[in-house]
Order: sequence, then C-alpha cells, then structure tokens
Amino acid sequence: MDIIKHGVGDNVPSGELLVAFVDATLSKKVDAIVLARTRLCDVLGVSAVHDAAAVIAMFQLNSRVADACGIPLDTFAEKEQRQLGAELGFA
Amino acid sequence: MNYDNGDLPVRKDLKETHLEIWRGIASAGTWLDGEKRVEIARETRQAGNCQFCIARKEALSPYSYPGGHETVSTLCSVEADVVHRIVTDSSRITQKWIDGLQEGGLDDACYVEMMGVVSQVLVMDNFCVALGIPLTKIPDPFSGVPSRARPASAIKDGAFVAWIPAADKGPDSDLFKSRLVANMYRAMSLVPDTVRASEALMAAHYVPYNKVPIYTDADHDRALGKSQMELVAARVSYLNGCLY
Repeated sequence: MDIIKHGVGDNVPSGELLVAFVDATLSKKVDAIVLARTRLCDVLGVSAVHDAAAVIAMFQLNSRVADACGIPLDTFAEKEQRQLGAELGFA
Repeated sequence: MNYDNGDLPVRKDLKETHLEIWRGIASAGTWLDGEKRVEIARETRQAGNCQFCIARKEALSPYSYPGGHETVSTLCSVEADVVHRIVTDSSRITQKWIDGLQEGGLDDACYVEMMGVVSQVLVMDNFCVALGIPLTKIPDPFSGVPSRARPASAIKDGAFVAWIPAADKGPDSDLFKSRLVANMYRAMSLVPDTVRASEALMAAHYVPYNKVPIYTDADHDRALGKSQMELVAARVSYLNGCLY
C-alpha cells in the first residue's frame, strides 16, 4: 500500500512515475504536470501517458459520485475494500 | 474542443465521447434545462478557484464554516454550494446535508443530475489538464424541456439518495443487463441518463463498470497494464479522500 500512499515501493511497473503524474495533475500546477508527463512519456511512451490521463480524469468522477451519493461498499469486494481503506487510513 | 492542439494525440473514441458528453451537458436533461446545466458546468470550473472553498476545506467541520462562495454563474446560493461542495469537498458530504437540501426544496433527483453534470465536466477538464490541452469552451445551451421522469422503482436503500434496484425489470432495466452491478454504477440511477453518460465515459477512459472487478490485461488494448491503471485510480481516489 506504500505505492498508493507514498508513491514508492511495491512492484507496479513505473509506479512512482504514475503516482507523480497523478499528483501533478490534481495539483493543477502546470510546470509540475509538464515535468511528470515528460518523465512518464520518456519511460512508458506517449500512449501510456494518454491512457494514464484518461484514468486520472475518470476517477475524478468516480470518487465524487461515490462520496456524494454515499454508496455502500459492494458486497462482492467489501472485505478487500475495507482492508485497503484501513491501510490507507480511511477507517 | 482543442484536442488536436495539445502536446499528445488523443484517441478518436475518446474525442467522440467527449463531444457527445458536451452536447448532452448543453441539452435539456431529466430535471434541468440546457441553460441550467451549462450554468452548472461554468460553476464547476469556478469552484477550484473559490477562496471560500479552499478555506472551508481546511476547517474541522465544513458545515459550520462562515462565508460565501465566489461564483460566476446564475445559480442560486444553494445550487452553487452543491456544485462547489462536490468539486472541492465531496468526501465530507453527509446524509444530513442532503436531507437539508431536500427540505429546502432541492429535489434528490435534481441533486443527482447536478452531480452528473459536475462530475462529467471534471472528467473532461482533468483530461485536458493532464495532457496540456486547452479546456474546451463550454457550449451554449440548446433549447428543450426536461423529461421529468422519475424511475418508479427507485427506492432509498443504503445510499444517501434513492436508486434503482439492480434486479429492476422496469423501463430502465437496460442499465442492468450485466449480472455484476457495482454500487458505483447504480449510484446515479435515480437519473438513468446520467448513468448512461458515465458508462460512456467509463468505457472510453477505462473499462466498462461491469468489467472493473474481473477484467484482465487480455481484455483491453490500453498502453497501461491493469496494475498500473488500478494504481492510478487508487491514487486519485486516495487524494480525493474517497474510500470506495
């Protein structure tokens, strides 16, 4: 879970670069976004940057809707989601 | 849209989906006309610059913090607060606050439709921000009359707002063709067209909602692997304070 919380560790390929791109985009700071995007592009390529941007954007909707509708966790994934939430400090 | 003027090329299906979503935002919805929906879109962009929102976000309780929003639209103060709160502090939205909106005259279905417009604008704007594309000009509204059709089967059952049961066989049962219906997908089903718009975005940006729990890297042609996309998704949710 360190990879989600701190952007380091675990074994997701180029995880730190992806997390840096997310953080920069949500910060709205143009210089940081350009830097993070360039670094990600250098390692994973243009298409990966595009697809990362698409996922970032989509989860701006999903996280807002989940919270603004107050939906409960899905029964088919509740155990895993609660465990993840606890590790991230939400529970 | 300025998608051909950015630093990176944009996938055709994504361009087409965004164009369709912008058209939908400017058109009459289920409860709101095109003019109101366009005003919501304008206010969505403003919320990130609102100093009151920035200060309130730091407050221990967002419900007793004094002040007013910096607005740019013709929305009333209650509507503007709905938009700003969803954009800037959605993780602290409560059932009590939504109940208060209804007691004040803002119907729960209107709230859901507003949420749909806000979140759709956030998707398209954040995509542009990430890729260095100038934001799309918010379109002028189209004329038209809202359909005002509330799903008869919608019930209050575990979420802050009413929603359609996953096993529904009514006129909107096309929403639930899959056996696997995540609550995320059902969340806005009080306004079925909002779900349809979200699903279109989800399919173009990520994978369809019903595939999320089960897809593998063999099921998609994205340049990122599942673990990478899941990491990006989890990080966004984490930064937004969302447990779901």
